[in-house]
Amino acid sequence: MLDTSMTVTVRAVNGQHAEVAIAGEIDMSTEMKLRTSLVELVEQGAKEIVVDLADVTFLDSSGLRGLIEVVRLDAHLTLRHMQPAVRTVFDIVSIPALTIED
Amino acid sequence: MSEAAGNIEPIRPDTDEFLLAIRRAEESEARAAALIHALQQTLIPPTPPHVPGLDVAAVYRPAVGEVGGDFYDVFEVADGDWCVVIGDVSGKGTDAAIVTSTARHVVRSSALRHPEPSDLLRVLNAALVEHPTTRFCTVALVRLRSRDGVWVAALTSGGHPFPILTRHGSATKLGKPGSLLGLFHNVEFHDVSIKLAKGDALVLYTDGVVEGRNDADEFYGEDRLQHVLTGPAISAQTMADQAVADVMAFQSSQARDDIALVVIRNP
Repeated sequence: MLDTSMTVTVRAVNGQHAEVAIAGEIDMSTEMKLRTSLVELVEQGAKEIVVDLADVTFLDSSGLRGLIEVVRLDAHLTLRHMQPAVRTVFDIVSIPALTIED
Repeated sequence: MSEAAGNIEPIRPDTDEFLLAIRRAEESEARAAALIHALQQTLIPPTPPHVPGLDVAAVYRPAVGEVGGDFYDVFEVADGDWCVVIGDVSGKGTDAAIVTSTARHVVRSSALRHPEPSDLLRVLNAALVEHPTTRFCTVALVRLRSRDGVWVAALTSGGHPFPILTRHGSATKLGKPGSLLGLFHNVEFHDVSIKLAKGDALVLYTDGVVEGRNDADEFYGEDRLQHVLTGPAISAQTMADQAVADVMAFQSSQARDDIALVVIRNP
């Protein structure tokens, strides 16, 4: 499937800390690309990943998978700058090792 | 000309083979589509069973092409004790369909021993975590019990859009955030109980309903859904049909995700 509607930019990697910015739509067609990018960071040693979602316009339950796979790998995830429509997804789900910041 | 024709001649068998290959591909695609349709029929109960004392209806619209991950089930646990479950397995295709069918079987076979909806989701989560697939799902589950003619609904959500209660022309979301199923061993689910009085309706749906988009890229959203559900209702079927018609009209009948919606009404 096409995944042109989402980009993942690694802004900084500093030891166990990584910062990533995502833009576009996170759904079934793009989540695998996101998952791969984040898992790669964990494999390279990242344990704290900060994800800036300011430019994410859509996230559905299938897309969640792309974000939370790293939580299963014992990394801590911080999600920042979510647009209201994206944030509603987290109003109905509780995920361990996840921090949400404005 | 005859020389040119002579040159073309040897190409013909290839062309025939090419056409044959196309026909084979088309036939195989048609078989796959028929298989998908058959599979879907086994996963989705075409109409919910008759629940004595309640009015229950459901609508399911798969996204075009593949077996979707949405499912629902309505079944009797004991006399005056019913279970309604709706869920959304991540992804599509046969792998998602296997998880869908596993989820339905686990819920059906464990409902009697686990009367609390949150307990039942814990059992389902354990089964899905053990399952070889890497897919996960969101589930909302309602247990309906009738005592002396009074219906009480206990419900829980595992990362699924909260059920909507409609009462006297207003709509309320019911539920507390819960875990996604099939990913983690440690999960949390919470039960919420309400009395389902005469005229009340509980509406369960999947996110394909509210995530429908129009040409201006706007989402259908919960507000529109709540608005259409609080119109004058004659039956559960009317409510379900009106809601889905509104969702489909909003996105000019181009649903990019599955849509499933179940209405449980106390008539």
